[in-house]
Amino acid sequence: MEVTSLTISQIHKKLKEKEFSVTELTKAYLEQIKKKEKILNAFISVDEEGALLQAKAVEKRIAAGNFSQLTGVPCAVKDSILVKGLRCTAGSRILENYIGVYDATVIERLKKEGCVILGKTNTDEFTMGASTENSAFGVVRNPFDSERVAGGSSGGSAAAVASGEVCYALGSDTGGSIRLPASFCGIVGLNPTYGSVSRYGLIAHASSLDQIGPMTKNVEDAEIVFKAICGKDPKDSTSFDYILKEEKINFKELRIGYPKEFFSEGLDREVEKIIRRSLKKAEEEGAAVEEISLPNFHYAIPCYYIIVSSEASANLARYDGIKYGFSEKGGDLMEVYLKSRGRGFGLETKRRIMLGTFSLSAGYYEAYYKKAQEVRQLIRQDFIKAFQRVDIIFSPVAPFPAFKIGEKIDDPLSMYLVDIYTVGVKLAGLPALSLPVGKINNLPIGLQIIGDYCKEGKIFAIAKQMENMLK
Amino acid sequence: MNSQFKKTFTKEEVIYIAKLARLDLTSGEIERMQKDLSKILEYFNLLKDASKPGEKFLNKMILSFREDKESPSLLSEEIIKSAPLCENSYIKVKSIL
Repeated sequence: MEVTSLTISQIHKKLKEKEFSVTELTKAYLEQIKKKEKILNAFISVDEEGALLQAKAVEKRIAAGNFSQLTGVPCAVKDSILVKGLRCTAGSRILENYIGVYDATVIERLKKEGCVILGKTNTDEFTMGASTENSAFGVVRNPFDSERVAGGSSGGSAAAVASGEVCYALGSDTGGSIRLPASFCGIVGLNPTYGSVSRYGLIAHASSLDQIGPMTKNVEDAEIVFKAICGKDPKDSTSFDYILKEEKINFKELRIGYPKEFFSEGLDREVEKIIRRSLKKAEEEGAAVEEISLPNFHYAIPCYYIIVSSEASANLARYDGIKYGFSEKGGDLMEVYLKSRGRGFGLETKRRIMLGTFSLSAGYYEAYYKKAQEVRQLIRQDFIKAFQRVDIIFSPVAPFPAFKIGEKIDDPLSMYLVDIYTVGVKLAGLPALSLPVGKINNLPIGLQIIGDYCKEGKIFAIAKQMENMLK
Repeated sequence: MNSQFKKTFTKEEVIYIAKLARLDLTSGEIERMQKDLSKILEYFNLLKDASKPGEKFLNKMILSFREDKESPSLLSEEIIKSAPLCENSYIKVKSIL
């Protein structure tokens, strides 16, 4: 077996048994990056030198026998998360030459474990997109079919893990940005409960929604990484004391719900078959499977996009040509703002800033932003009611497998609709995981496992059993 | 402007919003925005049919405060250095008045 296809616990075991050194392991992954990047474009920057230095440092720790499961395991970080001394672009021209001046809290925590960071992965500009086609650094190609997208916005992280360029990666999820690329690339991706992981050092997109999460080869790895990064951080006031509770699940006592609204018009027939097959498997193991209703489901997309663009328009006000990176010259201050932002941002980012500015503007605020906030409560309420009946919800992650590059880029509304099954979870603040459960013509399909608040332990336990059943 | 759902954008409205958002758009972009925003908004108007949430479900914000303790800010120098124009410990801007 190639070292680049090993999981975290397999690497840990082999490091313990001294089958290879961290430097050898790191070099093998860097080699794989060189080979695969010719096609994929999963990385915005690769830090070969820094990675080998980290590997050397970690070896001393391993020699002393004091190491955890993540020690020495090569990983990648989405380019919207700050790593001290490394360039951090957020996929935008406006931050093309911006260097991270501190470590994000999640990076601080991973470094404490002795991680080896190989580089920063490609993303849609400011994580706005479902295909990475909005990246100023080019599209990420799907490892299963290079004519297709890897999904977005954490498409670089997903492709890097799926192709063995790294063992695991961090992504961020605002509307589906971890789960969607995980589904399209056949890996595991967790969007954690809002507030369970600190966002300090994550470049803000929409602050009431943004979460950092793990993207891994299997469920066990996702659990290991999540455990290392979760918990309260005084630097992010939305974070809270979170302790991952491991759970044992007996399928005979499990109630699984599937929302009838998700299995209707727009869902690819073949995807539906694969998701229903997963439900059937769970039922055969003894779980009670029942149809549930999320009656406000069809409001999720407009509600989400009004909130997300409103928050983005405020968060992105900081890119003014004065404080960071890209700056255009102008006769006066206003001209510097207008030109720097006009030239520095890409089309989708500008579209969302416009949409958000409009939704928050006098005269339209009540009809759009305020209304969306009310509808957000309805959507949350639907999920709360559903979890009074069932323990867990199964659904598709996306209506279809990875689509062709260029297929949706000229039609923003059809790109927004890719997120139809993932945004509701975010509006409610719930955790959800994408688990690969099948393929259509060699293109992976993910099952979305949605849990109640802080029930990551339950999600992991169920996902592990599903993973075994579907092997 | 009154609090209503909107159906289409005129060119002037797009230019007005772009100015509020501090975005210098090309004429091609203005045309594109006019078309895209109208189409997106038309779909978003679906929200007008949604009911109002019951009071008991309104979001209970949990405010989290940390202790008001003094601590050194170690990063100001590095952060200032990230600016395109700076001098000593200051960020340089065009004169405002």
